[in-house]
Amino acid sequence: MLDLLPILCQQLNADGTLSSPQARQIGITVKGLVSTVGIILGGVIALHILWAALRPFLFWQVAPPGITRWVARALAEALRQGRDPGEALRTAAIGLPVPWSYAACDVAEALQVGETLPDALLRRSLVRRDAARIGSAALRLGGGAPQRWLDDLATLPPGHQRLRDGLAPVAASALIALGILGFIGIFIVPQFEQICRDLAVAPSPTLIAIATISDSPWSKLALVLLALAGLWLAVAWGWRGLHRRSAAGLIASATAAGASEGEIASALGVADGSLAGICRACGWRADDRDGLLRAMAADTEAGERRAAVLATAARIVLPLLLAVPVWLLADAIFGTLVRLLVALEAAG
Amino acid sequence: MIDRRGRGEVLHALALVAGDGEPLDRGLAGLAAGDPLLEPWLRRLAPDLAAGRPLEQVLRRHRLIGRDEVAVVAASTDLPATLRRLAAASPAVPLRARALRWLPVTLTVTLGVGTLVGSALLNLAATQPMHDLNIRLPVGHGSTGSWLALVVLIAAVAAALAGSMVALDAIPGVRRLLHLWCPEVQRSLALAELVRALASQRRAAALRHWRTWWFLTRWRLPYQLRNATVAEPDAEQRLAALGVLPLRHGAPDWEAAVATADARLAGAVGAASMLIGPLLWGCLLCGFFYGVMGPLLTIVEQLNGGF
Repeated sequence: MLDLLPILCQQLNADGTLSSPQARQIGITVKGLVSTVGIILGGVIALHILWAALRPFLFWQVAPPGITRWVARALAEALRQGRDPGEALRTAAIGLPVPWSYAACDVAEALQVGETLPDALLRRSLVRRDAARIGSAALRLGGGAPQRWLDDLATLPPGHQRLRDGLAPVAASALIALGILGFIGIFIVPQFEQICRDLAVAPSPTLIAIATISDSPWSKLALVLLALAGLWLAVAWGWRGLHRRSAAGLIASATAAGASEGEIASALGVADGSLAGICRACGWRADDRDGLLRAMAADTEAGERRAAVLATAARIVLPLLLAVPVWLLADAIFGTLVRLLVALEAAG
Repeated sequence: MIDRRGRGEVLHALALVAGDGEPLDRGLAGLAAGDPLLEPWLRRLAPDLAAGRPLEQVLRRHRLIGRDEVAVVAASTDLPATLRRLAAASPAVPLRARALRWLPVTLTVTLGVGTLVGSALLNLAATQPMHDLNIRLPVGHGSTGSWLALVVLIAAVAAALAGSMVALDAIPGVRRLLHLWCPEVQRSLALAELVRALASQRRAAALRHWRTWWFLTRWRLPYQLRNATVAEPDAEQRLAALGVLPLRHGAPDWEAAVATADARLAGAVGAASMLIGPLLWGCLLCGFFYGVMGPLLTIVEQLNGGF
């Protein structure tokens, strides 16, 4: 291909098509740089607006896990320091996006008129139903149980932080790369197709395949469904095991505070009044408090190990998966370029 | 520019000495005897303090306070409290937050650096072959002079963008356009700067940052709470009413306020970095490929335009 370039450029120079003045070159460079920055910035702004507009509808049933944790953290701190939870909620509302900021202020008002905290949070979709049930049980038990419930609600699932730190940058890079590839597929590939049509040159088979796929509405639908599935997975992952962990925390703190097995069973709505039965009903295999604490520690350790494995696997697999479309696009574009240059040489 | 390294410790030490009522140079020497961090500052400040220069001029001369803080120290009726407030406002705003606020300039520089590296590599590898082609090469390709011209061009574009942003920031109303990207970071940054401005009693800066923060926050609060907040006489009391400014024994705890604002800012920057970080890497890579492929793209463009 490089051997053809001198011949090609001789032809273009003879036609006078490559002798644009230097000032025009500078203008083109500046315009290109500014317009690229403008497009990227516009894309970032559009993404933010789109996310802000879509988020309330995507999470209309219950707030995202991060929002619940933010509210729970504020309430847990307020309870610990003996401050008014309503004030803590109003302060927390400033850090929350709409509509959850309004929901937090509504909860603050509801507390003033005597509504219980779990019910108020549930009614404004700030917690899930199972979390609210544990909260109500914590209120019935009293003592340190409500504080423990809020602390558990504010804590990330085991391994979540490690997974987020390991996975998020890779996933974000993959999304950006897919965006760039999509841009090339939607805007650049058709230009090459047009050049091939004008020069009556057959494009490379890979280019034809890519053009067909990007034109197909099913591929766009598949992308949207894939994105929604990814979002659902990310959200579900944030909630996983919360009920089980909260129940275990409640049982552990209630038994430490001296509550009887009957009281704990009654608060949690479990028929079996023995501690082993309560643990079993909440998803734990333990006969006593010490056994429960050991099981909780083992569960946390297993969660961290799982997260480490997943993060490592993602860091290896995602770039490899990404290499496939990159290779296909490179093959399509460069293959077509070679065909164009060969055809031009044959014609010249 | 303020020298932030050790600023907090020095100002706290001076506040302690001023509170005890002893001469500042002697008091500082006494404290430095037990604290190695103060030793270099003692060597720098002691001669000026011993010569009897006004404290605000000494602090300004050694870049411990900004230009707008000189008047605050000079007019202070409670020097220890003023110095403690200035010390609380010492921690610097993170560089990543500033880079996100100046995102257009950051993007320009990133794209530019990628392009420069790519074109430099191409120039090193293929200058003669490119000249042999006898085509008008794009700016930055073919010679060192052209490459340097590209450096100047990119720097000029970045400077022009920065200048435009500064000009837009001075126009009331229009400056809100500068908050459209990464609004969460802009909001947290405005709060961090507001708290620092209030702590160091820079009223004009505090009013400006309050207006930015309130604009970016107001729609998060119900109507009654918004009105109740704005009814408070000044920004300090408004923040305290919202619970954003922690109080200790009835007075604002500035250190806790700055630490809390910085924690919010760090969270916002972390969340934004998940998108912007890879985006910047992508820009660097795209710029590099553009730099390497520049002459070839010129030829393809001409092919496309000529038929």
